[in-house]
Amino acid sequence: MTLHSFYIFDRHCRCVYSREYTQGSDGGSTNRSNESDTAKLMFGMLYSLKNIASKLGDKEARNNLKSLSTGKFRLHLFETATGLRFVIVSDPAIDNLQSVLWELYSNYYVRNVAQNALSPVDFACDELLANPKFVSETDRFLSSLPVFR
Amino acid sequence: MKVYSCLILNKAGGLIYQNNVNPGLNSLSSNDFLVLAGTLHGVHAIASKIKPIPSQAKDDIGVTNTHNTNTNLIATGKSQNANSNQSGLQTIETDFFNLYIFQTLTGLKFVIVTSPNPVVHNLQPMNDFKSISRGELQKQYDSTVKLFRQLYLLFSDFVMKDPFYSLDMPVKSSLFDMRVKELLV
Amino acid sequence: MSKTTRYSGDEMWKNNVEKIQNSELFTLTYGSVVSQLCRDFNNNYQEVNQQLDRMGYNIGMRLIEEFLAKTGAQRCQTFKETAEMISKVGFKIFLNIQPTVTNWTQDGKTFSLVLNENPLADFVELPMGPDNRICRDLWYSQVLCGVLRGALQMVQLDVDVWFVKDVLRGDDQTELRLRLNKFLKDEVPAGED
Repeated sequence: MTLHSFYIFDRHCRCVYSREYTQGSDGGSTNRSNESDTAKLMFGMLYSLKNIASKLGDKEARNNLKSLSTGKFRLHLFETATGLRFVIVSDPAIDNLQSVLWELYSNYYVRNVAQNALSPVDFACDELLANPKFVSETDRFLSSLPVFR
Repeated sequence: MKVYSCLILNKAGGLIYQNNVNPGLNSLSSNDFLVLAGTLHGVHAIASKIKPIPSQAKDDIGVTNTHNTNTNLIATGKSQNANSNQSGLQTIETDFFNLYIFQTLTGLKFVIVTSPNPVVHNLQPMNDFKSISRGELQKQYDSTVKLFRQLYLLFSDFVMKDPFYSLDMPVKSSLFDMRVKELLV
Repeated sequence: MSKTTRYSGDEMWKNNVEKIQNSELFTLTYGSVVSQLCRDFNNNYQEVNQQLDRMGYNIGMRLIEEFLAKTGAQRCQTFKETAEMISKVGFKIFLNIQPTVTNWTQDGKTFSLVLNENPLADFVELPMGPDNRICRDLWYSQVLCGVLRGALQMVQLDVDVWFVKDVLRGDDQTELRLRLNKFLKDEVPAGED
């Protein structure tokens, strides 16, 4: 498995979607670790590093934090202007998933969630993104990628 | 790859040295750098506590790695990589810079800020998912490790061997400044 | 020789640029330190031992960075591994000698280092006066104990180091003993495996 998990954080700093990919027959869990320490610490890290990126970067243009890595994993981030953060955790060898994250947002999120009249876009405190079509379509997309093994 | 700046943090996370060798980043006040250092210290530690990979049971690999390094060292007499930062935050990539964190066994952290990697991060999203590169960032990381080794050697000479330098305090050695500039420019 | 050769080479001890051609200057310097300390403390050899140990401690705390930078050594998993690193790498780089590791205790927490040669004490002979106090009380190379203690403390090992035998005192060999008190787990920096 080179893509390990996929998280979405909303602008209220909540984890609204978490999907883990494992080798087992169940293919991993959906929305089971939204309130986990991992998700919370991850968000905290991304928030602090975003501050660092904007402080050190250019004064005019926006400096986006794209990815961070440790010896064990690499975390790819894409943040929309609406404050949504799309995060994928992968092996450290994978360099750039910006295009994948963009596709997840512009194609799958926009169509299945934003353009879906019956799905909330501003999630209330106990609501999660559990839209089955979104889950299955993103799963299919991610598992069809050559990097996903 | 241009190096924009280099920071050294002591084991408590306090900034003891900072040098902007090449322009290219926003110029920050010294207070800002202190805050930056503290944040990096904290985030580095947090990253080692996150376990985002659900199926990871590979904790013992790290142990065999360090043992191998030491046996290699004794057997061949060749220097090994002095970086002991395995599970903590290693690199950050943004639009305008890459940041690398190296740590020694004594808790010293060397932070190197460089220009971004042109191969990997073009600013336009591509539609081609087949050509997602692998290992490019690792190459840049490997070449930065060499810089870290030189910096660490300079530090162990010009800072540690200065009898008037107190441990864990800010470094005010102009000799060290000169050598660092020579190395990184 | 330019300084860059020192940093580009891989083999650590081969690249030790001898800036000072005569290493005996080092022996002389150390000897004058010890004898001056003896004069300053009015031949109170216990005090001299303590001073030498303290000096060594300060040296060790700084020397460890050069050791780590030059060798790239990683954390040892056992105290036995530490003993090997000290004798085969540490002493080799700095003093160009290789002491033997012996006399392990059952619990693996104490061992002896037997130095077959001691560059600090080349040409030295302790004065055999009528009261012989110097032979009983002074450990001439006590600075080595301090260096080991200081260096190991910086990598989170709390050790006690002391001399057991010294050829200068008339013993058959020079032997120092190291005991591991504890591994300072809380001070290990975050992010290591």
